[in-house]
Amino acid sequence: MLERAGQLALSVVVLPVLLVAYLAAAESVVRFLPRPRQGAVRPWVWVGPAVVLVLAFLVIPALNTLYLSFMDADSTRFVAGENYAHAITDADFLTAIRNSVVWLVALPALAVALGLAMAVLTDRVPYGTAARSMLFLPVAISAVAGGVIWGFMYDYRPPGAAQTGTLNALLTSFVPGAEPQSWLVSASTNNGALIVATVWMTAGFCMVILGAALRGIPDELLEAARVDGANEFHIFASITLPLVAPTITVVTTTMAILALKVFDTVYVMTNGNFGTEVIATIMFKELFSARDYGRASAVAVILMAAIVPIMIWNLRSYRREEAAR
Amino acid sequence: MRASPTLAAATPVKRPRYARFMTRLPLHLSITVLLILWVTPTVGLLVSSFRPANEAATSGWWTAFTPPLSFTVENYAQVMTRRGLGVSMMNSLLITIPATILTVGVAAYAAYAFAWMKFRGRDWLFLGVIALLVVPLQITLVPVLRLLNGLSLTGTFVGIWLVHLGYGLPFAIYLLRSFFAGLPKEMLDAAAIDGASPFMTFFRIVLPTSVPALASLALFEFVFNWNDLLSALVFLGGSRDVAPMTVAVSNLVASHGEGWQLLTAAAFLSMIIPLIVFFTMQRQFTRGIVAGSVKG
Amino acid sequence: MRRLSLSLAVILGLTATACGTAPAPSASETTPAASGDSGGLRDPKDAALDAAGGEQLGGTVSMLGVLGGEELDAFDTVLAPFEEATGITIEYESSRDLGVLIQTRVDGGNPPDVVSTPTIGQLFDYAVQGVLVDLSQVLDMSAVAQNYDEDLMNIVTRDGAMFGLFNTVNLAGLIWYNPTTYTGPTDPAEWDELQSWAMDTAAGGTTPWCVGLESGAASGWPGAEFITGILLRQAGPEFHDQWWQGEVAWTSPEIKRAFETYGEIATDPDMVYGGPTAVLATSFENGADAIFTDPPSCFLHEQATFMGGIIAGNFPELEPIEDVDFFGMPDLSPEHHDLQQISGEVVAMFNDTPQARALVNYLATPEAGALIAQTGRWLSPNKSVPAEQYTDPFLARAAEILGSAGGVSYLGSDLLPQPLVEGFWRATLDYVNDPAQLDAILTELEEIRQESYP
Repeated sequence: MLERAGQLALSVVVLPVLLVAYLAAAESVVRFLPRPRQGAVRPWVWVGPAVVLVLAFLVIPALNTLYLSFMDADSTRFVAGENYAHAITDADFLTAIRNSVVWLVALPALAVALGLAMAVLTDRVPYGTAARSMLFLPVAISAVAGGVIWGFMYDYRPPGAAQTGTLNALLTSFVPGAEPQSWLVSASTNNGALIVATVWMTAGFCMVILGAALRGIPDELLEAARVDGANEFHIFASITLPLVAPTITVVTTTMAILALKVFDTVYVMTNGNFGTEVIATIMFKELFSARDYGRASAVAVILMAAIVPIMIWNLRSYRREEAAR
Repeated sequence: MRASPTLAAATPVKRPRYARFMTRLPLHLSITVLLILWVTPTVGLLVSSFRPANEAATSGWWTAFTPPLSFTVENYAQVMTRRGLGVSMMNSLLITIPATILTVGVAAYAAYAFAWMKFRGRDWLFLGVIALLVVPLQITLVPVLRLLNGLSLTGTFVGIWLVHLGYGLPFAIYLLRSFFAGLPKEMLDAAAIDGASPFMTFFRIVLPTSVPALASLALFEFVFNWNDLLSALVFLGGSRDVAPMTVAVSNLVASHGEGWQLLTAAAFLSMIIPLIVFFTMQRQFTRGIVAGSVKG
Repeated sequence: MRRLSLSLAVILGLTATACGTAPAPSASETTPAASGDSGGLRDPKDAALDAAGGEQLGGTVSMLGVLGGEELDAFDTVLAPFEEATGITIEYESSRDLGVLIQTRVDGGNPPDVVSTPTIGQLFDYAVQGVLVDLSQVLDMSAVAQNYDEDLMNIVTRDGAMFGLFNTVNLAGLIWYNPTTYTGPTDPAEWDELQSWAMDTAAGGTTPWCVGLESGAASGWPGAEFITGILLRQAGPEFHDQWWQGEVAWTSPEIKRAFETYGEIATDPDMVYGGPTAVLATSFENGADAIFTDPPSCFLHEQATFMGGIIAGNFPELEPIEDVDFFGMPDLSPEHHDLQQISGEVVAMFNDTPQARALVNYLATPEAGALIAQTGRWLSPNKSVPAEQYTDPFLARAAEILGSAGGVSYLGSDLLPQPLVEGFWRATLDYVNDPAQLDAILTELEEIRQESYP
């Protein structure tokens, strides 16, 4: 224990020093260059470490995956588009695509809307900090614990038996004649149930980011509008929203990508059974169950390609913001 | 839109307390409803963690409040006296805190360059980095493990820091760049005119004014790394001397699920540290950013 | 590949020992704590030192497994004498996603030294790839041949190389019930006898069976095991062996019949508590709960020996044997009598190090087997473990059942290739969800089979 504490103290001191030292050293090297060249070289010093790291940990594996997607299961034989053809014609994969589209629309919409509402509302009451802590709590919970919590919420006992799940207990107690639902099994409710659980675990994240952005709006601006007689909704729509639009883009993009990649929640709660497959669970099965690296890679590539529309949208917002600077 | 300097804020008219309360009633109501919805699942788990296993499995958590009342701290006691739990918490801290420091630092450098330096290929490089957000973790496991094995960093804390750093950078850069770009140009120009180097500008002006953004990012990176299980298992290992709390907690449960009630207590014990971090960061959040991501 | 010979079944119940003559055990001589001094066994520490070649080797062994919680504590008691005697530290890492971890580490270049896994089908793959150490070069094969049943050995042998060693064993296909409330046959010779009582009970208004299939990422496995048990007893050990070795189509009538027999229970709302909805939504850990409520909502539950511990956890006030007991699954065919099935974990070695060799040799000793028996959680596959080592009443009864069995097979569903294992689990869920889809479900499994066998 003591050893670890010592290592922790050491790293907390050494790492920031290393970071600053790196920049200081690199900057002094840059300053040796002739002035005109400095502007071209300096940015690479600043982005360099990040670029090297993402190359090693993300880009190269992604390119490797692209390559493997054209090979067979053991990665020994070239099979061109076979893996893709198999994916597109596989019923489970098509179900996963359909579900992922639902996630892609529902998760960002709900999480960002709720996060924004939470940020706005809690800003205006004296107990806002306490409220924000409780709303943030689910974000601090691990996927496994979240699965346990929502397992409890969605638990099912046959009609007539005492209900152990919170939702079914509420349903049978307050709605006359209602029967308990098997939320995670029944095809009409299971995807929604998973999405709700994920919204619960992520809205607080949106709240924190949007809250920080909201707090960047100068109070005088809002007060001026109020004095001019505008009501709260109008102020929100015409002053607040446009000012936090860039942050909304960031948060929505992050949530959309999370929706595309969602794995842990689905895996822990249903494992994709009963029509809850998503792209990542299919990829996981191909990779670790069938051990078919070719097909798994093809699914991964399709997943990564789905980011293109999101990036196009981001590019447009980005260009707009940059033009205004 | 700059804050109008001519506006000497006229103090709002003070209405009678009752009226003020009534107009704010919808506000309080909506917050209360939200809180109830959000807190109930966690309360369910909290109550279950104080119940004996057989009862938690066979009756709803709200029945714990009807007689016969049988609460127990057995679950917490078992978890806390579990051999290796204290070590695992230290391991978790030793994994998470340095990884967070590194991520915030490296991302801040890159984000500042993306926000305020012009260079060829900047925009495409930036979009490329964000696009990497979509790379699924599972396909990186084997290549990254091979890399770490090659560098002899498997099973070391430095190795897991680099892993978390690599995985966390796209989001970190994305978030920080958005905040940095919102800083007032005049502020940075003034510093340049005064002869400050980019290094100085960054450390003396940009970082201090970006504390809320840095704090938010640090909080998220901390929480995310704290709750990581798979990367730790693959790259660091699950043996007792290096296993983080997530691994120790998952080992509380037998292969057929016996002992699951310990997870309820463990989940709360594990949540304490991120919550402490959240409260610490809260003070940073409430300081207004001069111009956050506000554009004028 | 023949079914396990009678000898394993018989020997598990006998007191024969590996060395010397044993004093006849007296009924009162149940000394679980005294490690290894009953029935001619040595002190486990001596066995461990022996296994390490007589030296205190020191060093470490990395071991990957699925055990956790109290299970892991129990297994630690088996490993403790080894660590003490040899100075070797066993670094046990555990994950319920063991397959993922092993695969990643093997492909990533740093496999664990030793693995202990219930998914034997996965080990077959690694054996074929040649990444597993041939244990016949590590173990004393004459002792192994004496202590382990030949057919059990054959399962873990490929091309003359032995890639695994059976470590812990459970008896599957037990029917659990509550003696104080159950009015049906407690040792039915035939399935029809049991089912006719069940149908009478159903007609009387109470569902006779309860089933729980939910199990997170592994949901469906209890059903797959039950169907396998039915298949074995209906179609016989030869067909069962051909089936798990991939030599028969999943669309065969025998397999369809086994599913349908299972369906008579699990898909019929009159026969199973809560109907198919509850079957799918109930966790397997709560699967037997309704037997022990007052009044009971069902009376029968099929599961392996470890269910005893789970029921005890949910209902601590119940007495084993008095309030909770089991009988073996009855015959489903006049041609195949009294067949039993076992499941368990296999130990395999990826890295040939002296410490790993010592560990595997130790686990092959009767002393280690006796410690396993004493944990009260598992049976040991080692024939030299004396019966009185089983102090847990359920395990003692299980050993009895195995001892008098007409034949013992390994649970085929655990020997399938991994995609088929998981496909089988899902097929069970899909079948209970919609029994009319059975043909489509079996066709899909057949497709997976064709892609899965090399």
